[in-house]
Amino acid sequence: MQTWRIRLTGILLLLALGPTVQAAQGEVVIGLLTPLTGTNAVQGTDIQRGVALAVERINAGYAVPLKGNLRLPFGPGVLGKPLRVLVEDTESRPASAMDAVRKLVNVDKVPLVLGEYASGISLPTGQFTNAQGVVQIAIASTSPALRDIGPFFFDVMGLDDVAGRALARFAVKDSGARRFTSIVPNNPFGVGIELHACKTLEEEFGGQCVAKVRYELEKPDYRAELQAAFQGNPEAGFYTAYGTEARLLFKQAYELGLKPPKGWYADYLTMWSNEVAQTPEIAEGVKGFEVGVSGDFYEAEYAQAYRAKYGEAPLTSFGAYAYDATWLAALAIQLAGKPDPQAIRAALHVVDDAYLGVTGDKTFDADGMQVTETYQWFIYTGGKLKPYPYPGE
Amino acid sequence: MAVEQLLLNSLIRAAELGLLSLGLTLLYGLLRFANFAHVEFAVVGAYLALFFNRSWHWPLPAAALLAMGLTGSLGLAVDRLVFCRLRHAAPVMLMITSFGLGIALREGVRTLWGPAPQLYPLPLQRPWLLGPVRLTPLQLGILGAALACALLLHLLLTTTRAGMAMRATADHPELAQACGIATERVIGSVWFLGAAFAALAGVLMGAETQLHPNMGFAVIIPVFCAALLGGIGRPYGALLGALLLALAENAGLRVNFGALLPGGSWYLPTGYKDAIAFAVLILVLLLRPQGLLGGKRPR
Repeated sequence: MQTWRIRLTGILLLLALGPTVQAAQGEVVIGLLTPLTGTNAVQGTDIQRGVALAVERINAGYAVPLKGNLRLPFGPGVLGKPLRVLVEDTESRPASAMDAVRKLVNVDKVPLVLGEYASGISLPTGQFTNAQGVVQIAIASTSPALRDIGPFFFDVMGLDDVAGRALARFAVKDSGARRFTSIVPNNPFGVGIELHACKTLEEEFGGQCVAKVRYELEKPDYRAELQAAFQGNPEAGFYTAYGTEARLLFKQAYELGLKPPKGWYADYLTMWSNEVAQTPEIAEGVKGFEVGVSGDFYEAEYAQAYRAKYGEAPLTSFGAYAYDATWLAALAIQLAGKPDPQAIRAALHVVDDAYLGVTGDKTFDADGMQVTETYQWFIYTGGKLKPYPYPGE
Repeated sequence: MAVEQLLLNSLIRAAELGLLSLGLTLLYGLLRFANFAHVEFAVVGAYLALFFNRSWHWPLPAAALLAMGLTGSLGLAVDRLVFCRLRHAAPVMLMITSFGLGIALREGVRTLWGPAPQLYPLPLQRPWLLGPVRLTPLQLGILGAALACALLLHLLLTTTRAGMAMRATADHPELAQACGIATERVIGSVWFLGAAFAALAGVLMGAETQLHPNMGFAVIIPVFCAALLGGIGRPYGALLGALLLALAENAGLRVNFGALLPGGSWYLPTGYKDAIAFAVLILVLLLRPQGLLGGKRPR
C-alpha cells in the first residue's frame, strides 16, 4: 500500500508538471490490432468499441480514476494533442495480423500497438513489435508463452496458468468428477489452458484428463475430434473454443449426442456466448468463468457509458480490457512526455500502480504481465449467462 | 461411440467429398490436368445459395439449384475464357493456371462476403435416434442428394448419347472428333457438370457446418486424395476413394495403436487428422499410383 501511494504521488506530480501544451500541433497516433472479421469478429468489435470509448474520453478531457479513490483530470488529448488510433483488422488470422502490424510499425511508425485478442496472434505480432522496439499491449491474450516475448510487450489480462488452475478447481468442486476430457484449440492459448487445467486436476485432486483433444482452427468438420474427446468415458470436460468454432463444436456434439454426464466447464464464456445465441440449446448448462467485469465501479465507469454510446450492453468482457489498455497507454505516453517507445515502456511500469481499471487491478509484473486476475462464475442457460455460486460459498 | 455412428459419419463425409472429387476426376478424364480451382466452385456455389436464400428469400433447396446452375455456368465460362486457349499447353502450365484461378475465386468470395464464417438460416437439426446411431434430417438430405447425383451421372454416362460422347472423348479425343463428336461441346458440358456438383457439395457442407471462404481449400487434399485413390479419371473410383478416405479419417483417430504393445494405449492426436489424408495419398502414389480402379494415364 505504501509503495503505490508513493508512486501515485509521483505520478500526480509528473502528470501535473508534464509537457501538456494547449492545442499543440498534430496528433499522437497509436495502432490497434483487432479481429473485426473472422471467427473472433464479435470480440474484436467489442474491443474496438472499448478503445473508442476511452479515446473519446481522453480527447474530450476526463477525470481518470486512480487507486485510493482519487481522480486525475486528464486531457483533452495526450501531450496536448488529440489521440488517434489506427485500427487494423486482423481477420482473426495470424498472417493478416502480421501484415497489419508491419504496416503500423514500418509505414505508420506508431510508438505503441494495442492488441491483439488471441494469443496465437499476439505472440507473433508481439515478437515483431518487441524486435522493432515498439510497445505492444495485448488486450485479452492469456498464453503463458507471452511472458517470454520481451521488455516491450505488456498484457492487461491474467495468463492461462492462473486461468487453467481456476477452471480445474471450480470444475472439480462443482462436479465432483475426477475423469475429465479436454478440448482446446491447437494454439498457444488452448494448449496453455489444457496443460494447466489437467496438471491442476492431477496434482491437486488426483484426477486425470482421460482424453486431450487439440483441434485445428477454421475446419469445416469436428466430428472426429469430438468422438476422440469422448474416448476413455470422461465424467466431465474442460472446454475452450473461439466464437464460430465453438458454435460448430457445440452443434456437432449436440447432433452426435455427446455431452459429458457431469457437464462442460469452459473458460472465457463470452468468447462464444453471442455466437451460440441463435441455437442456445446446444450450449445449455455449460458452466465456467468470465474475467472480472462486473460490480458497481465497472457499471458506473464503463457499462453505462457503453450503453449510452452504442445502445446495447457490452457485447463481451473484452471491450473493458481494451478500454483499460487504452487508458494505460495514454497515461504512459503523457508521463513519458513524448511518443517514444522506450520512454513509454518505462512509464507503463509506473502508471500501472496508480490507474484503477474497470477490469480491476492492472499492475504489471517485471515481465509486463498481470500480477492478478479476478474471475466470476456463470452458467449458460436459457440462452443467457447467469451468475453461478462458487461451490462451497 | 458406436461403430455404426462412425460408419454413418464416414458416409456423410464421403458424400460431400465424393461430389467434389467426381467433377475433378471427370475433368481429368477429358483434359488430363489436375484442376486445383475445382474446390473453389464449392465455395462460390455455397455463397451464391446463401445470397439467394437471404436476399431473395428463396428456400434453400431452390437457392441451391440456382446456385448450381450459375456455378456450372461459371465453370463453362472459365473454360471458354481461360482453359480453352491453353488446350495444348503443358500440364504444368494448366496446373499453375488453375491454382491462380482458385486463389482468385477464393479471394473474390472473401471480398464480396467477408472472411467471417456464416450460416444458412436453418433451424437446429434435432437428430433422430435410429438404434445406435443419430441422424439429422439434413444429414439424410446430404446422403440422398449425393446418391441422386451419383445415380444421375451413372445414367447420363451409360444411357445417353451425351454420356457416350463424354466417354468417347475421354478415351480418345481425336478419334471421337473424327467420328463427328463435338468434343469442345463435350468438354464444356463436363466443366458445367463438375462445377455444378461442386456447388452442391459446397451448399451441403455449408448447411451441415458453416460457410467460410477457406472451406474449399480446407478439403483440397482429401478431394484430390479421393480422386487418386479411386483412380484418377474414373467417376466410380472417385466415389469409392471418397468413401475409403472418409473411413480412414474417422477411424484413424479411434484406433488404439498402443494395443500393439501389451497393455498399451495410444491414440493418434487429433491435430494429426489432416495427416491421415496425406498419408493415404503418399501410400497410394507409392503402392498403386494408378488407383484402385486403374486411373487414366496422361496423354
